[in-house]
Amino acid sequence: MLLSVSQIESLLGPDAKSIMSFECKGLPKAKINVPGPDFTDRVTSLSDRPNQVLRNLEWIHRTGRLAGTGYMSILPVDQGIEHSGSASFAPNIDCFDPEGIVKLAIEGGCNGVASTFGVLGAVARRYAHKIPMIVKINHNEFLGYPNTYDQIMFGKVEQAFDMGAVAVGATIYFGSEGAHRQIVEVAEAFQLAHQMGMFTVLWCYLRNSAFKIEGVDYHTSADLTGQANHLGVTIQADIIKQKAPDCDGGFPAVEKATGKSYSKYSKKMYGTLYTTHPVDMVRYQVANCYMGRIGLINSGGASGQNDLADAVKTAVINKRGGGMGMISGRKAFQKPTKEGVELLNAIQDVYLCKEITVA
Amino acid sequence: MPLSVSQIESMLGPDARSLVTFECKGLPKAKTHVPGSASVDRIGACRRDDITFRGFYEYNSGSRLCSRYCAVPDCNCVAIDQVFQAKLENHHNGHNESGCEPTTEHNQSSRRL
Repeated sequence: MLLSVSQIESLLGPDAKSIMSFECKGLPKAKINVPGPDFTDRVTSLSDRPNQVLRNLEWIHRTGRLAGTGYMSILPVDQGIEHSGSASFAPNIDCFDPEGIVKLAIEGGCNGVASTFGVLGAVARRYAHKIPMIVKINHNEFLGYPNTYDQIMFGKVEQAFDMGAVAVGATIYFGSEGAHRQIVEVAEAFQLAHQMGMFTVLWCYLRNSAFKIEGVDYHTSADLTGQANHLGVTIQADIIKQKAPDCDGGFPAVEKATGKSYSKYSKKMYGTLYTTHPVDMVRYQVANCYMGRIGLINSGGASGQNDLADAVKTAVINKRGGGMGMISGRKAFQKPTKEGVELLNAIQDVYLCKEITVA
Repeated sequence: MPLSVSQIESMLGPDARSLVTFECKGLPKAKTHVPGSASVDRIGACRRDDITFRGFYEYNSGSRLCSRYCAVPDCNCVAIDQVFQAKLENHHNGHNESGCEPTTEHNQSSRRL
């Protein structure tokens, strides 16, 4: 049973009217490549991506409850490495078992499942032909003391191909000390993945303590995440996974806090290209994915008190901003399977809801 | 002659009762993949790599813990990957000498390879 538009609006709460009626002016809908059932033909097929990449992209677009819509809902579970096994799976021990993760993705109606070499490899023969698998090839190892933040390769692109994956995924911490090395490593891995017929997904993150200023965390600012997206599509990511923006003005804030020039930006973008309305900030992220030629999927964030409402709100903002879907992990797998499936289905219902349009 | 449970318990000393009778509650047995004679089919068969899989099989059948998964002279494993033929034949010969009996279960798992 699909959520109705009125049920979705009630989940949005007092923000419903503002989010549902907003129209992007600075970067209007007509200027972007809007997701749709024909997206691969209309947009991606014009690129240099090999036929096998197009086939795999089309398979993920034609899987799950969102099949044939041009939108996607992906279950990502790499937090066993990025955080820890206990931090991730204590709330739902079924996902300590790789099969529990893949089953949740299938039962949850997802287009695909993204996880580690170990997780997907452990069940690949049973599931690689049943649901598109995205193998995350690098991680931040989090057991070293003191903890550090650096993405290192955990395997090779060929391993992902051998297990039948449709795609490889990788993280870059833009703005961090290791960013230059990570950009080169991931660019090379993506080039090989394309050669082997797999599409590429970039977890396009920012990481630098200088981005936290006077109580504001600019790791999720529209301007900085937008530029991270722009770097990500430059190394030929086919899908950009980005945190939903919840603030703006990262460039000037860093300059003010450090007293030094930082990067380059046009003041015109603030308020002219986009406002601080959440739909407009997502639109700026989409613009930085070559005006939507590369799909933007937003992440769901940590599990909390109001997961269903939060996830639905993020999905509505992503869809209205011109995004291609959601990648929601902790909110889905850190609870009993039935509730996880309901949450994933609620996200998908947003993209199935005809009344929720691109702004 | 394997050790009896009482011999094992005597080696455990004062911890014997606690170790032998303990039951996991938070992560119960039913949620885990318990080792057994069908481990390769039940769990290894989910893995991607046939060669690794075959290696597991050889390891399991080559040890003293081999109970039901012994090799047979006309095993299909050999036909599937010639690279491993000599190695597998050696393995089979060793097992025939040790007196293991071929089983239907083994043949089924071999065909899946």
